[in-house]
Amino acid sequence: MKGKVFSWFRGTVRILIKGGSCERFLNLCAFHRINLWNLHPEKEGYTAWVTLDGFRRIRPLIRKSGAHIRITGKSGLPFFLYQNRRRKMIFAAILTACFSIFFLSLFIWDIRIEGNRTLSDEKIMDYLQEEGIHQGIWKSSIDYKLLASNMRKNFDGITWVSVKLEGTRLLVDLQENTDLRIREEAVYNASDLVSDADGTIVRIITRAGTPLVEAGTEVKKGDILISGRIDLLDDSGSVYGYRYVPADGDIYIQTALSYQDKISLWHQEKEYTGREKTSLVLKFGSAALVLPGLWPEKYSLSDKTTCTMQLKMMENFYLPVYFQQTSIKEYDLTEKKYSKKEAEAVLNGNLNHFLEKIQEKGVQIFQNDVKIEKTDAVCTAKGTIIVIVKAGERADTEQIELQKEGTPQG
Amino acid sequence: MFSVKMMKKKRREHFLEKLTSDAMIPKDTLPGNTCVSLTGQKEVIIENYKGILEYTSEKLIIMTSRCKIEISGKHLEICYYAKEEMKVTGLIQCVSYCRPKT
Repeated sequence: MKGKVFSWFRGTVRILIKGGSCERFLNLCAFHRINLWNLHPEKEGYTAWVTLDGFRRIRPLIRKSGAHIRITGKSGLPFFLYQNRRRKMIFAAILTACFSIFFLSLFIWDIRIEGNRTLSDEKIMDYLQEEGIHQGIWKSSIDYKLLASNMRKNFDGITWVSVKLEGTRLLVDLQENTDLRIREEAVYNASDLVSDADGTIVRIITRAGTPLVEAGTEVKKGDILISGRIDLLDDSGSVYGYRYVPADGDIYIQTALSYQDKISLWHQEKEYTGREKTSLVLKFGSAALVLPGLWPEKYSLSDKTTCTMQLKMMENFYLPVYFQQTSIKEYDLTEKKYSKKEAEAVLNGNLNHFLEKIQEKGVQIFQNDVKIEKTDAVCTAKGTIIVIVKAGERADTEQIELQKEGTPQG
Repeated sequence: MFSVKMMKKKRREHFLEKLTSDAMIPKDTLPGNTCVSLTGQKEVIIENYKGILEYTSEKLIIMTSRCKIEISGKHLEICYYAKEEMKVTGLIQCVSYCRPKT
């Protein structure tokens, strides 16, 4: 059946069918393709809903069947317009609202960036700003293909970009190349992998080049781990030439990291006084309206939290109207001294945070020898952390010439 | 004369039924066949009928080209009534087919 919205726009009538041959009338309606719905029997006859168009065509059927019809209800846009025909301001307001929505839909009011991992939203937004793309820009003034291709050229790490428009939202979807190996191969030519830390080799897998170390070798910072020079041997086993390649491989090295953290036992702590004020601001573009009675109070020391919500009509139909809720909490600063346990807890927390952070980068913790010492004024965490890290940084391969008579063949 | 007509009609029906059965065509495509779709106990959709003979909140009798279909239950309501299809809701207790007496 037709949707309710469609029926509402066309107008519907609720009718009461009375008389001796109601069934005949119903069958005639069906035969003449006048659809009836919500048909149910009443004491006097039947009630049913019919479209306004259908109702206009039932007069001959009434006469033919001998039934009596009474209108018991009306609904829909034609009746609304007729009832409010004298209230011109309502129609003016509706028209203005429709026009405003249409006009606002011609601009971009929200920019969303998705898929970025190493590039920050701010960096991409700054780039878009440089390209002249910002909130409030005319939709048709953007060349989406050109923008996507410029983004690919400008950011090396981006492998794929899609710029599309959804409602009043500009959606920038991108994919970054996070595989460092692919980047390095593209950049470097004929290079060595040298150690970037002192330590012992734990594991080495060579993909290209000549490995100069093996598991268990002690190395110092700057030592060549995988050389980019490959010796070319003849049938007798003597070197007749060299081939230079970008060295490639995975080298894991066990190294010691020194760690030190210090906190003062005397510190300032926030104590909230309980006085709090919330203000609500309605923003339309750059114009702001603070709602009456909600002016923010000024405190000497306070924490300010702002929450901004953009008005939207549908999922992707954003409007340049913002509600900004700001809450200000007053606090006092008091001098306090950490107890031994508290200081230890703070230092342990900092250490754990540091360990978590380096583990996120792929570092394995092998041994932790950090110890906490306390004096009257300060508490110190000091020691070394033995870690296994992926080592190797690029350095140019020294190109040497063969000190032999004759030139290598091939 | 009447019996010859009836015989011809029956033969035609039999032939069409056999044809649809052999050709594996759905039987609801046969002309004159009424399609009654029951969903649970609360909804029935009827297709290909001639008209309503009687309708109360407890009983609905529908005329089809071959027989009468009687739906009995409680609080029966016709959700929509069109030329090809109608939907009846309510607590359906019984759907029966009554062949007209010849």
